[in-house]
Amino acid sequence: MSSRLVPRSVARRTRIAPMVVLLAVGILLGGVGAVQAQSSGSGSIYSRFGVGELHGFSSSQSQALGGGAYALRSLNYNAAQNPALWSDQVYTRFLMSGSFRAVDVRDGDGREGLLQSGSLDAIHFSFPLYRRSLGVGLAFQPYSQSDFRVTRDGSVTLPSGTPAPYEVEFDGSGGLNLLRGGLGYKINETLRVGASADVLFGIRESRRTTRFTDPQQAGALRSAEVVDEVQLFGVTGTFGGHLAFRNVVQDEDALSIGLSVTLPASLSGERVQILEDEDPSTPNDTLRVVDGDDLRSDVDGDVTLPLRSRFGLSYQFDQRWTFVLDGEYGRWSDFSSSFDGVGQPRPFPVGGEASLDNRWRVSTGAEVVPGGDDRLASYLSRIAYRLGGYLEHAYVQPDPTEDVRVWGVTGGLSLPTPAAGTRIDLNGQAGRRGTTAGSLVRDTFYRVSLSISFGERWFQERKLR
Amino acid sequence: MTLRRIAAALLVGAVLLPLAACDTSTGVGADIGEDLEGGAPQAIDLVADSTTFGGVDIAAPVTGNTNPQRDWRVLVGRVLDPVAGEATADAYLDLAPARPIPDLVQAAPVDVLEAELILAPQYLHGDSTATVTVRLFDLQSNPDFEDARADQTFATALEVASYEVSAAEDSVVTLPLPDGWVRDNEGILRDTTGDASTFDEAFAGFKVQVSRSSAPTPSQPGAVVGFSTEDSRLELSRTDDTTSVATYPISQSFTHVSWQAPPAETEARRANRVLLRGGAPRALRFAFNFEEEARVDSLIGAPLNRVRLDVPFDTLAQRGTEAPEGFVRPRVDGYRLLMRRTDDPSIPDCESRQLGQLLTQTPESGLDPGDEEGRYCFLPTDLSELPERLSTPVLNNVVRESLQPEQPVVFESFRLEVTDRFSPAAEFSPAVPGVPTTAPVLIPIPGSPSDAQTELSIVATPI
Repeated sequence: MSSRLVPRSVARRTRIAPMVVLLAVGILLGGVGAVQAQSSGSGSIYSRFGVGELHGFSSSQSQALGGGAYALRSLNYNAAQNPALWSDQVYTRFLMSGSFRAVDVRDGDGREGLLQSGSLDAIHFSFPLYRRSLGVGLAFQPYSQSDFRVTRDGSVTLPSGTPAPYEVEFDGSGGLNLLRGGLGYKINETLRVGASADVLFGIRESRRTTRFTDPQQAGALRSAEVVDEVQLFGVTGTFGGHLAFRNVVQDEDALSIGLSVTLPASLSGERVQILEDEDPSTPNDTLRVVDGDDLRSDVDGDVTLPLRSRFGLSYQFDQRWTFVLDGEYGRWSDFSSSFDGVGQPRPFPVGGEASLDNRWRVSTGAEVVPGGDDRLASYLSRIAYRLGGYLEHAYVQPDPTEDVRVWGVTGGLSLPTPAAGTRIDLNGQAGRRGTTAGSLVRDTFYRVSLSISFGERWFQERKLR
Repeated sequence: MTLRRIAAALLVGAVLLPLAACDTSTGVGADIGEDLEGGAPQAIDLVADSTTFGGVDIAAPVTGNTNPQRDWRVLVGRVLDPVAGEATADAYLDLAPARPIPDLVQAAPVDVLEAELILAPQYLHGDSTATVTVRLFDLQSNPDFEDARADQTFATALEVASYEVSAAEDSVVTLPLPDGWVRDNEGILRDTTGDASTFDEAFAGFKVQVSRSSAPTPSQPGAVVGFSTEDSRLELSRTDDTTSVATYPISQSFTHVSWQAPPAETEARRANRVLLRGGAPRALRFAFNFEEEARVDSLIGAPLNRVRLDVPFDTLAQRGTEAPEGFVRPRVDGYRLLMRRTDDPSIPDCESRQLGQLLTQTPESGLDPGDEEGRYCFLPTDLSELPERLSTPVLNNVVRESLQPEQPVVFESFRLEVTDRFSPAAEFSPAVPGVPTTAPVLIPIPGSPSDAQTELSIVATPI
């Protein structure tokens, strides 16, 4: 056997290089994700209301366990929704998650549509400052996403008496992004706390396009496109806590309690409406809207997002079995917006504040790793098998007489890799949103997610074993 | 290594995920909560205000042409049109030197020289069987026909000769010039210096004037005939050798047009209609009560799908039966449509991008008395539906500017002038004068018992 001495710094760079590349790719993908958020328009019609469909990605483990797991500590994941969990880190970790989803929409009249889209769920980066005691976490992910497309047909009679069939397409895109950064700290073996600063920003676009469908007329009758764009920016904070108790029911078990609270966020922004002209020689018009006595091309305003609180329980029976039970509550009836439609064509959010209701969500899940922490067990035994489910009372209520409820089942596999600390997670989700009662629709959705969580030791001296 | 490959593949997959979006567009959910509002286009048609709809005196159209490369015509004759009245047209022609002058012509004794004015027919208004008596005059002085208007005249010198010209368009018209005229002008005609200014000074040009001796009658309405200036010329040749010819092309030309009042017998035909006549110093003016039209309010700030201005012509009323068999009325192949901008400093200029970079009327193309430069914008017109209708599809920018909140309407009124084009679809911008014509058109007054109205139709999608 031959050996070659490699300077330690070179060896460290060699290990660090792939992570740096991945980080760069992640940032690039972050850009792609932001762009993608502006351009898809293939999700649920319910995302038209409020600030869009809320996203609460915490970790790929959480995703498979019903979406909660706010109390579950894991060296392989750093759950973003509870900063206290960032205190327990060994690896410098980079996670990237994307998903593909299909939504089958059906209304009370039996009409049906199929919408499909892909999106980036999250990019996380975290590292320990002091091993398993003080850690840093960074997350960039969607906070909400407006992602719908609806068409409506009609016909107008031209002055000549000729009917001109047309199609109006309504689509929404964009939403709020969350950039979260903070610290988690272990006070003692029982109590951990954490805090993060959350930057919320984004552009939400609602686009309405009227186009004439008769090819004979389409040349003379130009399409009309109006874009309603709301840009928002604001900062808030999230505080988390975690209590861990060992040997509760039996030896080596652990019971954890997690709690995190995201403070109300006051977002300021501006709203602008744009007429987009299909004639490239004509510049787009920015609509002038009445703001008081002034005619302006944009309107400034504020939006206040409500406090969101999360509570979780996790119970690790042994090295193999883990159970979680979680809840989340958002007081969306406190939501306020000054883009209330005065002098504007329609309010933001659609339907006004009255279309929002308090949101609650409960979820549960279980994970089993048949091989426990035995690294010599078979590969299949080292896979984590996860199953979960959730029930949610949505925060949007387009029809005041009907609640919009969402339920879903989740599951996933976490595949170990030869590199300790690196896992590939494949998750699935299926569920339903809404009802066909009244004018509402029922979404049946399916989602497949792929997450890669890389963990490597950075900034730490290697020790001979 | 294997891990890296897996990671790379997964990364590629993650990159591709966001791109894998597709859908079947659906109307499902359009009725949720607050209806998805708007997007339904509205079509409104504004009929021109009948109280201000009518003829307006303008500067006579330009009928002079100094560009020998341009297709042009001159008119001569006298016609009593049952609908439009009596038109009289006189042609003015100036010649350019012949290049080259054949040696046989150059060396010929003057008494074997002969000169003929060759006129190539191209236009007829009136009785195709009529004979037009014309008198040929030398012009008194060298004329300048540039931007000359149809109501101008140029002084003549001696009469050269008179001729009987058939109105039939089937062959060229040859007017032989008297021997005396040839003798008097053979020096300049055979001047080999080729100096155009010398030629111009020595030869002022011709006026081909229709005889006033006998007025046309309803049974013998006479005719105005038109000749192509490109194909017409003066030829100098030998009587003993017709193979050698010196050709003097038309260098510039002009047509004087005058009109008498239309006959009372056909007044019913013109009732509720505005008569426009080619060559006459009169245009149609019309306006829309844009600001008083309540339906327009819903379109303030709205994106426009189409704006179209239609002016119909009553071709049925024009046809009539009073004229004898064989009476030909030419079809108008062109118009000039102008928009008079509202006198408000906030209104963009014609040439501005907001108004679509429209051409503006210049002094050269004829300003009306009291109209300052830049007040009128030329609107390109769609002539594909002629002769029944004239449209302009380029008003989107104009109307869009007019529909901005608290903005005045861009246009105060419109003006329509009769012109004529050889190539309606592509030839020249609307600012270029049309070729001389005496063709008349009748335009129904809005509100009169006619299906066709002058109207501005707007298809817009309210915000």
